[in-house]
Amino acid sequence: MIRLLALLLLLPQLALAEGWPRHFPHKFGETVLEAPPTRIASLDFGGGDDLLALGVQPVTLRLWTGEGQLGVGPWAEDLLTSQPVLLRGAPDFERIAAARPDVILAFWSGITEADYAKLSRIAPVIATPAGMGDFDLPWQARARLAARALGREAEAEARISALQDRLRSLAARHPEWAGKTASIAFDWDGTPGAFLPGDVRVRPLAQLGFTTPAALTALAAPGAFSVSLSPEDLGPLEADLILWVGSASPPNQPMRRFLAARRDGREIVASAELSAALSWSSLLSLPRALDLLVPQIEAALPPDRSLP
Amino acid sequence: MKGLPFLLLAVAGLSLWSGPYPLSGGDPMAQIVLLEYRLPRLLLAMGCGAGLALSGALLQGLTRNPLADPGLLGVSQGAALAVVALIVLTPAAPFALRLPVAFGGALAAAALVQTVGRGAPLRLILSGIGLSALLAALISALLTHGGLREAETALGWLAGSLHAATLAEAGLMALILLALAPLCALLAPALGVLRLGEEVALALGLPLLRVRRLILLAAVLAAAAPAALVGPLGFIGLIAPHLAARLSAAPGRHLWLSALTGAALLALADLAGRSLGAVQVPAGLITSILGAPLFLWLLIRRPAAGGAR
Repeated sequence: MIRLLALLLLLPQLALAEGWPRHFPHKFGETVLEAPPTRIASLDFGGGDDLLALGVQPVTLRLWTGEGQLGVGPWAEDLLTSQPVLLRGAPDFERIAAARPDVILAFWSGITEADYAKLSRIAPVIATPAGMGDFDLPWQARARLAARALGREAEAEARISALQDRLRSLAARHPEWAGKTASIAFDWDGTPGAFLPGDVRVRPLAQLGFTTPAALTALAAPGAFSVSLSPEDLGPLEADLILWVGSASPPNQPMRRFLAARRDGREIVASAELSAALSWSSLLSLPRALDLLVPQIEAALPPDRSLP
Repeated sequence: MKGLPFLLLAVAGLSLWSGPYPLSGGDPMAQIVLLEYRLPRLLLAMGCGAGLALSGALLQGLTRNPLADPGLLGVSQGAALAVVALIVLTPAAPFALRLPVAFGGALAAAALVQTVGRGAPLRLILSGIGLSALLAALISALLTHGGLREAETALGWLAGSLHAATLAEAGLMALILLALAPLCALLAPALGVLRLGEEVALALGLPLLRVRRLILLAAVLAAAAPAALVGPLGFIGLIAPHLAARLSAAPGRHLWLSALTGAALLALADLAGRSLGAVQVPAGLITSILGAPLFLWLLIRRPAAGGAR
């Protein structure tokens, strides 16, 4: 009730908050949008989701991982009604120009300064905020930045708070998760590793109450979002819950069988869809990730089970 | 042989003409696409192709070994190691730093190869192979050591893509080629004499030591610039001189023909990479994919003519 009131109070304020032109400072300078754009090119990995969630059809989409023929994940296919230009690999400036965008969103894209200069000749480019790593924007900030560029803040705030509420209520329903450790592990071409608290995949788990094992964070270089491990010692992964992402098939790590979490059934190998949904961490993919992940965590960590 | 400039022009014309953006008069964006996207890309591809081919031709002449290529000098691997180290160890380093760092790495590796490989040409070849292997191992170690993201950025650079070429970069490459032109003109007759063997060259009064140093210097500069500007581009330096030799047996013209062939080859590779499908394939991958079979075909077709020139 209080939340609803707060939202009602917030809504008109947001609508009044900012007119046009709008200024977007970023790591390559500042971009000004004179009016709400209508043809939005997304150069971001998984960038189509937030646009679709806000009711906008993108004119370009960047292919990444887990998307189907249409260029979006299964969680967004119903919302895509247009046929955007699908981009893969290095930014293809001509193809983007041919889509005739009036804004290019590239704040989760890894574009370089040279790319930015070329793209800016096509349309205003919104790049990663200064001081942020190319792929460090948390899902909320990503959605808010997209919303600000589109002039659809109210929709974004409603979506974000709905998702936050869901995370909060999940955490409240599972007090036993609070303070438990969880490793999000990957097998990158034979090299095992794990994601660290700064990574997008770790953030939603943290919101559910899980923490990253101290043994993993101790190995991390400052500012790193992941850490590589030796295939001979997966010990630092040991946690109350281990979630393997990145591949549908079980990771081919022989030492995996010595992990206590695996022995006790506290290990989850994410499906391709769950891995992608977590990696995309968008307004549309996160709800799907929770749909898929929560029952698996509940099965792996039953409330009555006493853990050492 | 006379057809080579026409071939180059045809490739250039096709590169400017074709692409996913439809060109039409009176469209300001079309002008940007043509002059700021396609033209710098084409010019940089031609310049880098020419530089690598020139370097390969000089080295094949110097070592009298038909398998010599700029990879021998360690320049590509040196540039690659320097850039990968920059990306992996200091992810926050500004993008503009990559060019000077790559150039420094290329020159440092070349200097090391030459210090180790001082003396007979065979020594140079062996030390080049050895050092390149060591540098490649260090690159792999850095890629494994670094985070996933940095490794991916580095791999992108290692693929050798021309997609973000600028006129300034193409101009820099052109300047380097222009500066090398008189040196090459000077060295062309000496290369012809060197083909006859070192004793003959000495007997004919060739200042062998100085000539060798100058050839190496030119070869290093010609290959270091593309390595720094674009990244590793395999096979052009090896194949272009061989193709050029098929076109003309006249030793005096070999360097120029090699440079033209290299320019056409890399421009063609880049054109193929960006028009084969919806995905842009970096030119460096295309040269490696097409280069190896092309080279084998050359060997099989006329095995006897594989000699040095």
